[in-house]
Amino acid sequence: MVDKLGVGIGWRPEIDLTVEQLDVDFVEVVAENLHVGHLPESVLLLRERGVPVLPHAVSLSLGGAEPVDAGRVAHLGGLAEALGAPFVSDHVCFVRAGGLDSGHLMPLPRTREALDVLVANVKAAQADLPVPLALENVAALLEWPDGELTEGRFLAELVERTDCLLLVDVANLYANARNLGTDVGRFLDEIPLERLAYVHVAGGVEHQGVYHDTHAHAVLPEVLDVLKQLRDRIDPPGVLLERDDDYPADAELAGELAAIRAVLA
Amino acid sequence: MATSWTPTSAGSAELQPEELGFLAGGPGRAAEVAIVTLVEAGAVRISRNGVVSPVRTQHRPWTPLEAYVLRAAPRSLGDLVSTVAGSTQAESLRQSLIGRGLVRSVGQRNAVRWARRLLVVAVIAAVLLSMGDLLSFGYVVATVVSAIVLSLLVGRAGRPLTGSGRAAVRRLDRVATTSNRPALVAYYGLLGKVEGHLVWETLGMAPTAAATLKRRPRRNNNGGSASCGGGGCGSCSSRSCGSASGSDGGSSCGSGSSCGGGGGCGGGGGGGD
Repeated sequence: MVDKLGVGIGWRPEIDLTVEQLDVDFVEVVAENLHVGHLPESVLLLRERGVPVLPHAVSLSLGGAEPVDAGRVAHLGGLAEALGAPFVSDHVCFVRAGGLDSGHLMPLPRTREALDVLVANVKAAQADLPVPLALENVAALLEWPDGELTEGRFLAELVERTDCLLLVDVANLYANARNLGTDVGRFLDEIPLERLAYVHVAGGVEHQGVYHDTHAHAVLPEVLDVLKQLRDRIDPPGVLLERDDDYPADAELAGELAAIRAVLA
Repeated sequence: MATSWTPTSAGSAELQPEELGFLAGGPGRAAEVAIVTLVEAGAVRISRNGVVSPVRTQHRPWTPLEAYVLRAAPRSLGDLVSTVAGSTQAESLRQSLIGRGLVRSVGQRNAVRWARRLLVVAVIAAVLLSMGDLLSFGYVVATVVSAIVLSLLVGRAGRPLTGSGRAAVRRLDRVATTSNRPALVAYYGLLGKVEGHLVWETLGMAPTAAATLKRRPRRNNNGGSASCGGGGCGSCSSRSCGSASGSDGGSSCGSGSSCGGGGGCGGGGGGGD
């Protein structure tokens, strides 16, 4: 179990002043958007205030068939050291193959062979990172055929073999439940919650019968229900609100943070 | 949905802050007012590094300039001011103010410019004719005196603002206080100073955001200090203060000092990206 983080929000340059004014206990930054030598004034200000800043990567492509890019890992590690972050994170996915970037967090086939590849890449990244690595479940619009493990078991075995932390995105879990029929209760029962680093909460919208985890819409009550189910099992070290586009007024973001706190209470 | 500017009779009773901003500092100033008005309404936010981005909010009737700001964002504050100032919406605002008798048209100002040049030609011709004994000295004196008098008479007509426009700017002075932020920006501009403080500071804007505003050196045509409407030159530009040409030194903006000659500051009014 990691140290208590509290309730946080994703720091984004467009809402930096808003984030500074909100009642948050920690923030997360997208690692690929920052340069170690030129950290944004707002991020430095938050660090001066003692607010933990956690780097969150989207480009390691840990589930990819290719070896992990050492440069990307080094950047993530450098950022962790510059920010004094207790750990860093990325996703259980791949984002490139054959020299092409997908532009999306692509789900992995839940096979033992894919798990072996993921474990190897995670171990390689961990070897070069100065802090622990947390890995996040993604929202998928499709499932690869011939899966051998449930998503919960896939993550559980990943943790078992790499000793990584988990970053559980309850909005992604809700999206998979809506779109793919993932059993939320079973997922939460199967993952090792004692290895939970923190939780992501985000908004989305249904379009033509498919739920999209947009991070640009309000958080649905159903997503908070998933958070409640997790809270019924464990008091998570931290819960972070992600908002990446179509930013609402400060009061609306504050309201969503308050709603998260209410679930955790 | 954007509302339109409706030409009415001359006068400032119905003038909106961005219209007053245009009178006081040109299209760049009007753009600044539109942005600050949207900030006040919670429709946009400005980040620490000066990116203006829309806030998801309930739609309400915006002015054409405000609607353009919302469409052009996200963009850095300085770029946004320049872009909005160079927009067709800003030009429509100018035309509306011309239609209301507050701003003189380019044609009017060009006519005055040519009239002044003709007077100079007339004086030179009279002197040359006198030197060739083709004209008596008395006629030369009469020509020079007439030219000076006529030049003074048409001088006022060469200013970008009409008397009504200048009066509106003078009235703006009374309401340009920290409690009326759009009026404050309209009169002083974001880079202007009020009570010893920069306006952007007074509004709580981050220095890095204000740094994106482009302050351009003013061309001081008459050796005097330049100002627009008597309240600084926050957004003057080559097309500011109702002047579309800006090539003529000494054009005046409300208070009579020069601001139309390509100088100015605070967002580079007439640029446009």
